Amino acid sequence: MEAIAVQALQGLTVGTVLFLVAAGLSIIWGLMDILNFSHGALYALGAYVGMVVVALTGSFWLALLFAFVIVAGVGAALEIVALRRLFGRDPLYYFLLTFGLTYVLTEIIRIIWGDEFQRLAAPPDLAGSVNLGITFPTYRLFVIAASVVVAVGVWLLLTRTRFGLLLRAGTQNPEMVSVLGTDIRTVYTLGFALGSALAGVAGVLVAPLSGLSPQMGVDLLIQAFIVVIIGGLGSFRGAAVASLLVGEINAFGIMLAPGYSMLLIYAAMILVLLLKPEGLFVESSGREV
Amino acid sequence: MLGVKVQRPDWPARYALWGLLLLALVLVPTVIDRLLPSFYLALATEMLIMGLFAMGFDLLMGYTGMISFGHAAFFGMGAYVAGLTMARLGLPFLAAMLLGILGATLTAAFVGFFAIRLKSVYFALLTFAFSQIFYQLAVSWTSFTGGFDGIALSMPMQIGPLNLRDRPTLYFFTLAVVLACYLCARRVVRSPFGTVLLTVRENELRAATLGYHVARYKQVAFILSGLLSGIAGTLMVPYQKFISPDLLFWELSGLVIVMVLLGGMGTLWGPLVGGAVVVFLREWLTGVSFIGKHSLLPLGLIFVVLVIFAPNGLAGLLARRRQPLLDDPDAAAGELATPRPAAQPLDAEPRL
Repeated sequence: MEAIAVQALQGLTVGTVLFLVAAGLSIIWGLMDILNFSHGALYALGAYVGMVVVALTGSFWLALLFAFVIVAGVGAALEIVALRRLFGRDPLYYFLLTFGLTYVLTEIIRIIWGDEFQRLAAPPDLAGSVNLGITFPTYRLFVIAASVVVAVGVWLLLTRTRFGLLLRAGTQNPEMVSVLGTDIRTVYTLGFALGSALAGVAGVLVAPLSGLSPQMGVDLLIQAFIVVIIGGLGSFRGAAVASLLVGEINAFGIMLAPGYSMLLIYAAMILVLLLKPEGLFVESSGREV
Repeated sequence: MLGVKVQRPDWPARYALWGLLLLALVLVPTVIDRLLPSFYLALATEMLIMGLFAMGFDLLMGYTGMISFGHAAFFGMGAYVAGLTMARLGLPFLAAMLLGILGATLTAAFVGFFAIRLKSVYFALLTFAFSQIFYQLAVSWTSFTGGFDGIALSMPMQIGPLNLRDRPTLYFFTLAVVLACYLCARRVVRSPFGTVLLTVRENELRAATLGYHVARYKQVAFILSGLLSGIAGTLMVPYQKFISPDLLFWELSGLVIVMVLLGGMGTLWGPLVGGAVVVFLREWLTGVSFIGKHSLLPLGLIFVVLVIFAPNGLAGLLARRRQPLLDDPDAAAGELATPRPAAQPLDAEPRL
């Protein structure tokens, strides 16, 4: 019984982090039709930036903040320098371009920080574990809480602010946004930056759990793809439900059939793509916030 | 689309070019034997194999416009079926190779059956998911596939009197297979069937309106593409003398897209060259001390620049200069592969 509860909490930890990554993907897809393959590399970049900031200042909070800001900046730069030039082409070209950018970003990370596996200690206040009837590492609970806070923050940003309004408007009808006097290209740049920044923050949160390596984003990215497919490309709520689902399937899959849990998830992805490619949590006809 | 006329060099010149190229390819082992370490002969063999893989992929990407992100599945399936039948059943290489090709073709038929229903990014993601399933199986089913480590193949590899463990023999065998595949593929894309494929690529609705069964054409193109990729995969068995999940990994699926883009999609010979160039670049860059450790950086940058500025690759650049190469009118057709404005992948596209 206790083992099950622990697995469920593990799944929740993975799921909430996965949600941050998937939500970033989803925002970018919804706004610009870009399926961003370099998202995983941005996630890794966030983790490394966090590691450096912790080493310099000793503050985990500053690490989260800097990861957000710097990865947002890198995302904006990528959008301006490269992605913008593909405007109007088949979305697939974005996918190819970001695939190339993944190579570039990953190699830059390798050049700066090397190939070795590195560690980032959890902040001392959050080390150890707590007893909730079951003992569970404090830091994992913190990851869950922090992810939820960030997710709610993004939700409020999207629904309650003028910037969020413009993002959603750009998603629905970019021409109209332009006509009404807003530079849609700036909205695109900022939207891409926001999505990237979410990946960066997720990277810092995960680093104390998984350690850092230049390839750390790859597996997570693939799971995030699966999440956005199951939840519906471009759907924030769908991504939330699907990421928890995938997190739990993974956690229990590892317990029940180690090595084969990913198979199950890929199979789910194939089924959803074939039967309802717009995702499980999106109305077929309508566009969703 | 077919109205593009290329000024062709007259007959003898054409055949002279072909003859020279063939002669150069045949002389490669001799030249390497005289001037370079024998490692380069292995490299030349790998260039041919990857060229064939890229050409097979071009049949799909270039001629039907469907970009799969899981083509390593068919390449790897060819290698795994061939390798496993040799290792587990003790079959001779030729039988194993034929079974490998059959396995890759059947896999392509199966995946294609589902995949052709989807378009654009969704098509790419579906093929990706299928290929990852094969990858996961290869990794997880350790007792049969050898898991992450794969299986070393230490048995002899003979076809009749040909000993494929001998490097020059393997090179010539590979060269013969690749040339045969190229000629067959060229025959296919220049047939009425190939013309219909181009029509599907340019305007699917028009092809359907003209009465062509679009889905069936796509399916056949998918299978043929898988078949050629599978042949390339089986060639990896005598070349590498082991099989490992790398042959099925999505990174390879991405790399083959780079090869086709670099060479110029929709030209067959372009990707053949593109595949060879990518393999060579990787190997060559590895030799340069700093870049060598980070050869993916220049490769990634090349890829980015290509996607943005030259989506028709080397062949497109040549065609733009109106320099007919060999007798390939498709070099000019490459220009037509200019990306079209975004087509919405689905009617009701879910949004943020």
